[in-house]
Amino acid sequence: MDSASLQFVLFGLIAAALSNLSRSRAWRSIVIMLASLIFLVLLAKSAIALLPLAAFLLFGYGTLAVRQRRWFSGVAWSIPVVIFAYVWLKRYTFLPERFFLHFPYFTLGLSYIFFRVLHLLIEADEEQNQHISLGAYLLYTLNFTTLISGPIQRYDEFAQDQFAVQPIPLGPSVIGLQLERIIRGFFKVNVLAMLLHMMQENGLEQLTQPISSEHKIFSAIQLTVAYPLFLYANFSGYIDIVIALARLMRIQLPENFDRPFSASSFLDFWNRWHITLSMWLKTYVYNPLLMALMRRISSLSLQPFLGVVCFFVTFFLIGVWHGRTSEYLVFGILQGGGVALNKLWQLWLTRVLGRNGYKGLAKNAIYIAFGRGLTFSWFAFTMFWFWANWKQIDTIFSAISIIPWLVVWLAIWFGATAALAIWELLRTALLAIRTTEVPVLTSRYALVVYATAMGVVALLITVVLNQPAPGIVYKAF
Amino acid sequence: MMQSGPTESGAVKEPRSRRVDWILLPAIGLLTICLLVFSAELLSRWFYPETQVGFKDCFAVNDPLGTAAVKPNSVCWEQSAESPFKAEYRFNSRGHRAGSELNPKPLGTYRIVLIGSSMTQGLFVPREKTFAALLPAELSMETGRKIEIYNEATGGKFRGGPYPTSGSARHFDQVLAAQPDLILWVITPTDIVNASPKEAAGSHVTSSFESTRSATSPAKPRNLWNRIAASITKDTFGARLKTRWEDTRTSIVLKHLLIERESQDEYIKSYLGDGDNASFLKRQSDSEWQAQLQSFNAELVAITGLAKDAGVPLVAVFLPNRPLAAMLSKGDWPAGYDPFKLDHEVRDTIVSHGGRFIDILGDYHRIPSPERDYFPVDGHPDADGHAIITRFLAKELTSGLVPELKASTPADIALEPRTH
Repeated sequence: MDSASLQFVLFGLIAAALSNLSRSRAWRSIVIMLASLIFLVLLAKSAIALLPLAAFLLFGYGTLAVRQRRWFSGVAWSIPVVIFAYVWLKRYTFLPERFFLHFPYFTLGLSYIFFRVLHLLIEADEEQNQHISLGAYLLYTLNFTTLISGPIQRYDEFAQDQFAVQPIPLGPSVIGLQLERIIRGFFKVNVLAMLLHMMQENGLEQLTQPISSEHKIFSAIQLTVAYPLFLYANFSGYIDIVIALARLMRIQLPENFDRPFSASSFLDFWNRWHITLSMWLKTYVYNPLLMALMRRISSLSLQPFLGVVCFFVTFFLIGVWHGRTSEYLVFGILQGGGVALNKLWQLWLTRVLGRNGYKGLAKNAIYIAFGRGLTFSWFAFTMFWFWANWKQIDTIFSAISIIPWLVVWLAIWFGATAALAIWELLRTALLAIRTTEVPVLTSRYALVVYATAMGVVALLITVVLNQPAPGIVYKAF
Repeated sequence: MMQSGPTESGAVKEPRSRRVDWILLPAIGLLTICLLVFSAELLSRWFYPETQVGFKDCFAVNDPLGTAAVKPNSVCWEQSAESPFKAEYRFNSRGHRAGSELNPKPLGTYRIVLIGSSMTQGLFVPREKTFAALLPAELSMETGRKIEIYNEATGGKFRGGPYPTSGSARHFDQVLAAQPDLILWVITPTDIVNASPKEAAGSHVTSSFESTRSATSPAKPRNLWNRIAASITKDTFGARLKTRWEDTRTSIVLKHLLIERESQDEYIKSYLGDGDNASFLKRQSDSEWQAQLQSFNAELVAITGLAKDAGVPLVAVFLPNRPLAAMLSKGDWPAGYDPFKLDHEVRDTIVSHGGRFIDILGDYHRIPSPERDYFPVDGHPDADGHAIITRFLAKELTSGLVPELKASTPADIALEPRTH
């Protein structure tokens, strides 16, 4: 149930069907609440394991109520306390072991609950915001479609759909599109991601075998390229499923991906990958930090570089959020360093070429293609600190020497540049074939063909391999 | 403020659904399934050909158990979807894939008679690449004396019958007729399953059922729906569907491609996940497996006793199948499993009845990914797998267990790069 399994999809479809028995908001709220509680109980397996999560939620609601009612002026401490409670429950390794709870408890989805609670607490200070009832709070934070891996939805957007007197329409055409999306997501997670995971595992295994150096270079490329693609298929596939299930329950979840590997720069990449997380951090970290720095540093020549600093901090935090160990610290530095360098590069080019010169260059097809390749390569490089531990990282990087690694990275860069450019050209050409209304390839007839084919293939491969696909990576965060 | 991003939904603005779509869309779905199924099968057959030429000249299904007997002096060819070779099966006048006739033993020649099943016969592999064909040269080189091997191994159910089956000790005089100086019995996990009386009984039932069905069964339901309903009520629908699927080339090719690409770890996990197949690897085996092992042991004891009575040394060796080779190479395995358990059980039975046993499982730990030297779906070793078995057998046979075969210098296992 905590993955994009057939059981999870069936559970979601049953909940969606029940939710549509009546359009009343009370009924829809009851269904989603019950479904979310059943989902939690099925995952947690014991009531005691749920206690810390329940305490975190209740503490969050208590703090929210205090902030909304402005009962105490000194509630500024509430946000750091919620952050500390999260860090403590997630057992971040920089805290001493003896402070942690010493019984197994449930933390699945805690990160996403944390973002929602923090969002509510920060926004509680806004004058125009209405008080949120406990029921609405629990519906928002525990919604089973977004519990495990997001997307991180804003409360006002959630409330607008969930508590609307007239819920968003759901006709046969929309249902068809959502079913197609569920099948697509299922295919991504259970077929594509699984095959890419096999490819990655295979590359890792080969890299440690006594094989020729040419084979090792090939294995290193295989290992490096497979993981980002796997992660994309794994995460975006799950997101496809939950967005479609939520839509069938008449809730419009925000999109979390926008063809990330089409990004021509690392800054652009983070506008397209895990969008709701980066938007959250840009809203609540980047913007306030930039404003604060601009207030303190008035020098005009320094102001462009303040953005660089803020980008570094924001994306460093994104990296660190992903995990509790020192590997994620490096992952954060590489994410923050990547966007900061990207921003510096843009500033430098603007200075050298002038604003119009830079704009012209940024539109150049070859520059874009190489930028895409480099973005993919950098992201692939950072991924080692995302999925591997220090021992594995050491094994991987010591498997071949520096020169072969240079060959590997150049091959990945040029290979990704060519492959992604061909993909973009092909996509544009195919989408240009249109009926009077829509591109032929996105017509409902074409979608039925894709969905059927993907469904059949997913079913066959699931039966043949007789093993579950790798779990959703982002559920661990 | 926080904003939601765009768009990977693929949700496109479509015109309102038309009434004809209620028929058209399901029809497109069905058509897609049909096209997918047919094209996948067509492509699988094109790229992974499977041929059997002259099988009727080689095998005759005249056994009451449904097994096929080999016709002496026959030749036929077979290529499995997983093999790059079209293997020739040439049987001599005694019905053995021995490479030559059984001639009187030349003076000074040490003759080993190989007994075993399809792995020993070299299923899907050209004879000259099988360990039965490679071993004499290797042993002759190690020992400095002329050694020949006469291969009496039989194939699977439809290729001369499994070995041993219940009562195969009755035909042991054929083995002794080859004047062996040593009998080398190559045992595989599958042999234990095949030796069980239940398996034989099952074959018998199937055979009888198949042969008498047309004469005695009631008239078949005529329309399709009644046939489907009859299948469901007899609980054969799911089983038949599964069998049909497993018989398709698409299924074989899909399994082949997926298993071939699995890492050692994933392969072991998925194999052990299928509890029934992995019974022989469990520390605590179930009663069904125990019964099968008992049947096998009865044959083992009988054949070892006959060899002892005839004064011919019998050496047994246990060959790993694909998952076992993977586990041995990896060196660790999940709790509750023991890849050495069956090997040790067979060894104990053989040794306690006067036979000898050579252990090659430990050697598999020294080579990386030996499972890649097996056909992924079929599970028999390929040509590289046979070469590895040859090296291991030569090393162990010349280690001193058989004094006549003791090597002048101990053999080492070279790690040669794979040919594929």
